[in-house]
Amino acid sequence: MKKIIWLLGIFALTAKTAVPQQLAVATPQGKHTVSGTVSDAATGEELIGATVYIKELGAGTTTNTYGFYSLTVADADYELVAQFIGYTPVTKKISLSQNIKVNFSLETTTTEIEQVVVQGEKLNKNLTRPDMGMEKLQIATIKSIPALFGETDVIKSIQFLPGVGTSGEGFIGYNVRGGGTGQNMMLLDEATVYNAAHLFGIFSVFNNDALKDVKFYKGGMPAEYGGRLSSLLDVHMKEGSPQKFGVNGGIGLLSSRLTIDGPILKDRCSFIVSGRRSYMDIFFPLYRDEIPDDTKLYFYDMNAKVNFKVNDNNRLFASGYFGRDVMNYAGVMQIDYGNRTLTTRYNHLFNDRLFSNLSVIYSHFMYGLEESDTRWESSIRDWNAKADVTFFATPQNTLKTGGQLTYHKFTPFTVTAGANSPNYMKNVSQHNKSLEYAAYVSHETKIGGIIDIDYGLRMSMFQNFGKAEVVNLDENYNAVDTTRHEKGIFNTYKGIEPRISVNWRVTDKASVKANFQQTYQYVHLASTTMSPLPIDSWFASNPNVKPERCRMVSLGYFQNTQNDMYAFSAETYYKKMYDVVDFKDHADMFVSDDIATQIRTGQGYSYGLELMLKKQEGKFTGWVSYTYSRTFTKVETINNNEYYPSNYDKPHDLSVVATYDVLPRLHVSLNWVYSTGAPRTLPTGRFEYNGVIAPVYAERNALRLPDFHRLDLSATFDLKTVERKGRPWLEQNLNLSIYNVYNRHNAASIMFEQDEHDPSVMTAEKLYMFSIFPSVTYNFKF
Amino acid sequence: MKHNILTIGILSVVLGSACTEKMDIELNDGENNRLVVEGYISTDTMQHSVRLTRSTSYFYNQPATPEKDAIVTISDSEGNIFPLTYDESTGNYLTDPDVYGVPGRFYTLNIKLKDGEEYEAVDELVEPNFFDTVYYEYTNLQYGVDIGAYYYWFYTTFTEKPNFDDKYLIYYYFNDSLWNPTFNDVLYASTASYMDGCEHFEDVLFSAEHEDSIPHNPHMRCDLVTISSGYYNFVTDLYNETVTQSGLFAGPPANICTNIINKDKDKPNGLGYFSARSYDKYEFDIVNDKKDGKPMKDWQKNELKN
Repeated sequence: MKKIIWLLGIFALTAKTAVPQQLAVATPQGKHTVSGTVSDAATGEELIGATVYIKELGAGTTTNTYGFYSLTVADADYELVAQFIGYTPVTKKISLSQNIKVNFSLETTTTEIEQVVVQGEKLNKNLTRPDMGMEKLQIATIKSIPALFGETDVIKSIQFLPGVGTSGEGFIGYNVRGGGTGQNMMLLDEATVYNAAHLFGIFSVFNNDALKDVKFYKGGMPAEYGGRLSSLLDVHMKEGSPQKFGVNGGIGLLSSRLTIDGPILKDRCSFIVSGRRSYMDIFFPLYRDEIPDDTKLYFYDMNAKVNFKVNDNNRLFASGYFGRDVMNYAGVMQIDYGNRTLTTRYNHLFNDRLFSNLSVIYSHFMYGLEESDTRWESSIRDWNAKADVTFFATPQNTLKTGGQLTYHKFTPFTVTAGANSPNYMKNVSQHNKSLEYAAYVSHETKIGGIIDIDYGLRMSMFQNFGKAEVVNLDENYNAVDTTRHEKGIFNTYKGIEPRISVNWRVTDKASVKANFQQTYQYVHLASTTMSPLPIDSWFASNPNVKPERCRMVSLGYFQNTQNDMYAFSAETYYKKMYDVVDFKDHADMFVSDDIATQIRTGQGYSYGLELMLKKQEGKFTGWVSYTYSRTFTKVETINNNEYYPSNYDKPHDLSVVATYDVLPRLHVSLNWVYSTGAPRTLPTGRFEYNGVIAPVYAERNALRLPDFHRLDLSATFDLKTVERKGRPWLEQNLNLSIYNVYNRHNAASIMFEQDEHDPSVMTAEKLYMFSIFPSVTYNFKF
Repeated sequence: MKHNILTIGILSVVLGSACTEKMDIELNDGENNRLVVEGYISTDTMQHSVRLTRSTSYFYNQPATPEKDAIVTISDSEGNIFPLTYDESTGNYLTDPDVYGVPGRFYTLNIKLKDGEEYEAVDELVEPNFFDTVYYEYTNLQYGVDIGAYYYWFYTTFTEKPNFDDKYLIYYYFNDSLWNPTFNDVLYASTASYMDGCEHFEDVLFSAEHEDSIPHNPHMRCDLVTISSGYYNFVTDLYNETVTQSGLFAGPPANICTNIINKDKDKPNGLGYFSARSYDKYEFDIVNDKKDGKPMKDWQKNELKN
């Protein structure tokens, strides 16, 4: 309660300090509001994060997720400027004596398909916004980074950012500032994506062609977001052009994709449909000796979105994603998994300063194992209702509030037995139901033009309810008996999540930022493996499993030079995690009645220094980032209850990402990554039993894999644009990329083999995932 | 375990580009030279054996040396004591040939080493379970799919006991030679209550492709070995750490559990396990598995029991 009073006090204090600011721009003639949207002139799509400012006052704002802005200032004649890097700024003269609407359409200065890195924000935005630890990724940047099999990907791209580590080469699992892979929230149009992997993580579910905006928070998470300890990946899909039809796509080695968008009602209603299908399995007949007939391996997915502008004050959106991976071995055994999401949103402007959004969201993830005609399936379903209100009080003050309710339905397993199933297989099913609530309020204020504060409070609550059986555990985590709940709420957890970010503009070109946040996580991911798999288990908090909790403080220094061409940042953080979950040693998910018997909880801490130097403009763009970080975990019964380096503790991490426009039609890119080898628990001794050499271990994660490094290159050739009626009709390019140019065999794991001829002799072998791999992709856009 | 194998099998297709290569690695030397115990007592009347060795550094790369001159006894919860004597030829400690275990009793292994250190290990000899069915096929088909080679495919079924931690090993012998000595595909366990009273099905494949792999028309024996939860944990740990461990999708390594307790609490416990086991056995002769020394393609399923 003390914390709440303290926060409310700060809120009241800064609200008071905001009033003189408001008065400072007010005149005796009064104030009025100019509001509207900023959109792309070519496609009509709203631009997120575009800057709109009044030249005379130097005061401005940015467009929100829906492309909307609002400024309330004193009545006068002004020049209103809208700008978005990569687009030509537009200035409009306005005479403010009443509330007015001014919409902007910005013309692009470059096109995305040319693979030029288009910055989506004002170049000095890194100095002016209070949030730290946030990166806004441009789709064009993502597409320009060389990638495995030529498949560029959002998640693979964020793995190059400081503070973000990969859980395994070629995979999409990532660790943020010492957090586990399950501590990352991934949202696609506000719907939770529980598992973003296609083909076990070689691809992600995010199809670049369908994406409009990607924000990644590794700290400084706004109060409207919660539910995960470590990071937020907030991805928004394109809406489709309300003005003209378009087709674009690509043909790659492993998959192809096609996107169609266009108006349903010109300037009012548009759609986009985007699909992908992989075809790795069509090559299987070439390997008939090794791969049995009827073996299948593919994924497909589809993104679709419709938006309808009812009028200037009301807008409707509906978007969905559906994807499935299928791996079938010889027609007799199968693993399949996939996500389904559906988001419906309603934007309403109560007045020129009060913006609201109401969302109803469905999210579903399942995976199944099938053998003969017996099917074992596990799934998570979320139904989520969410309301957000933004009040643009003055150019210096923005207030946000809202709430959300999520109904989780976890089905740990459902067994469906067929006629030929073994007779011990019955049709059984188990469900766990829970509710997750959150309400938040936040206030972003600018004080004296040099200090920005974004602070807020999020209150969260979690309840288990409905028919359930909860095991009671003894001190050794053995199930003693079961408590049966027939209906109603039988368990509640609550969390208070304060957030505050402060930005102090030391000079025009430098700022210092600080952030504190507390986050709670009520659903958990526990993995029995070192690499993330779809069969990893998500499960909800319950009387046996407390919510995870994290506190993080961070401090950063940001400096731009040479007209914002170069941006340097140094961020440091300390993070403490409580009640983090992990499996016990030798956990077995298929034998036990309840996951609680296999789970252990503990705590962890991590700290680090992240340095980044970016070149933001010019023929040559890119960044160099270096991270020094450590992360330690202490989990009950593991490592004699002592702290040990986490599986993803890699102290040194260096990334170089660069793109150079060699010729107007030729662009080359490279990335080079280096990191300390991941820690591993390797044997310190051995004993013989039953003719087998068995290992003896000392401390957990005491040794490391060899250091990891790899160079990738790519070149994109813009092919001749086909014209019709004197206008560009078909734009196309060819991308050639080479993954792992110097063919380093980076160890993913170390294995020990017993000699066939002399069983007392052991040898070490490393498992490496990828050798040098060239690929080619053809991209087109009508 | 079967699901893990399935997953790994399919993943190996997915990740066809993964390769292995030998590497040199320097490992830390831990606290080695710990006592290792391998032995069991069963419901069979026989000369039971216990083997004592020592742990070594990981790349010792020599056979473990038997630990001699120890005083070894097995006692049961009824107060019976069975002394074991060291056998130079095998390096094992042996009981008299008429020793057998009784289900429901606890058995304790006591070891006193020549340096005075004493160890103790306790296990329960649980009530046995019994096969309902044992049958086999000689086939090149698995689930109707030609798998490109001929196998003996054995099916066994048994019924899970209500309110019982069903933990079993299933052994297969051809002409008295154990054919699955490394625990692979022999382990089954279930604490899931919904399985109680249900018939359980286990199957295993043995290659018959090579003439020297399995003897012609062999005498066959299947053992259903009911084991304690503690020994089951040991065997699964051993399996995980030696068969499925170290792969890309393996879990974090951890020490294999043990019941070899050092009586001096300040000193480290031993390694390995002393177990107690209940047996059900079924024996039969396989005939006509081959014609003229060649595999017979469509040999029909033979139900040998029930």
